[in-house]
Amino acid sequence: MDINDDALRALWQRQQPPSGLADAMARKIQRHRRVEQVRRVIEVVLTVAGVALLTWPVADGQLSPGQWLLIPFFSAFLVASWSILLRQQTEQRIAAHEPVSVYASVRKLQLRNRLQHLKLAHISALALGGYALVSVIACHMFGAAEWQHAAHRLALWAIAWMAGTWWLVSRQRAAIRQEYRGIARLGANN
Amino acid sequence: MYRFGDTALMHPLWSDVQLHLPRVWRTVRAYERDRSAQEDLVQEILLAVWQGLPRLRDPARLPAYMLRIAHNLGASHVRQAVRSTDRSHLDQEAMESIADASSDPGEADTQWLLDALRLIPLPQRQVLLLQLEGFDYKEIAEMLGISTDNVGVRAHRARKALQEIHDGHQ
Repeated sequence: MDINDDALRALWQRQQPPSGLADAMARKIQRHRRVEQVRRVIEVVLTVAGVALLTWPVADGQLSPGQWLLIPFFSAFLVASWSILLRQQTEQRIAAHEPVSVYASVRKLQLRNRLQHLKLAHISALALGGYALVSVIACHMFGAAEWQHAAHRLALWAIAWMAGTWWLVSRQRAAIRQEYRGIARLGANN
Repeated sequence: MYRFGDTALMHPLWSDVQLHLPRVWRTVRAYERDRSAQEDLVQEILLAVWQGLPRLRDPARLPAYMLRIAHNLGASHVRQAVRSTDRSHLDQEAMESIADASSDPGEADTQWLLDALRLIPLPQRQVLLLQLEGFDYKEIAEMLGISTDNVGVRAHRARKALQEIHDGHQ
């Protein structure tokens, strides 16, 4: 086989995509646009619902034990995870517009931030577990049956949350480290 | 039949994007073996292109712009292939594919080139791929954000690696 410049270029440029690729991609792009729009609406609805959920009982002056105990869960953990989990793809696409060497630097920074976020998510899940444990103990020692039931519900939420976070963090951390090593090689001057 | 640019919502340059789609597709093939993963990567690239089109000042730079995004996301994508499969297994698979390529003379050379390219380290592969697409050193340097001297060094190393793979195959 001839591997001179012209022969290689001709061989390379001879490749043509499958005939339906452009159509399939156009459909996917349009679908993605619709999904993005729906996601934005859901974000707004969830934010409004969350604010209403937390302010309604306060305005009324009455909060149930369950609401008191779940306030940290809904006001901190869910919001933080929402923003951490859903924003990553957009920032990568924006960085991809830059020259490769700039992308390598920006992407490494993004990946380091992602690792920090995952660590934060892990610590938050542990903190929620600790909070739930303290709530259960305190409610059993000093609270009425209603408070004890609410503390148990919180403990169940916390266990589910910790399991989900552990699964997500371990899955994403390995992938991020792999990508980081690949991108670091790109930045190398060779 | 559904065509790029049919909807009023699409950017006016979408028809040009369609024109250059084969270049993106070829580039993606040098990063990813699996056909469905190739489609996913092409889609991801086109989404990034679509998001950036309003900021593209000079339409003549669209091919370079698209390929820059393709190489950036392709470099990030490598880890996904590696994550699901052991690297040595991938290399072994590529070498076996190179060895088998001669059994189908029509596509054998193209397949050989693709498999050989996937074995070349990323910084050198990117330069070689851009050369194969017809870009000169200056354009490549601009796209990669490196000096033209560095492009020359990488291009030389890439050709040497390609030659070694070729000689090993003979």
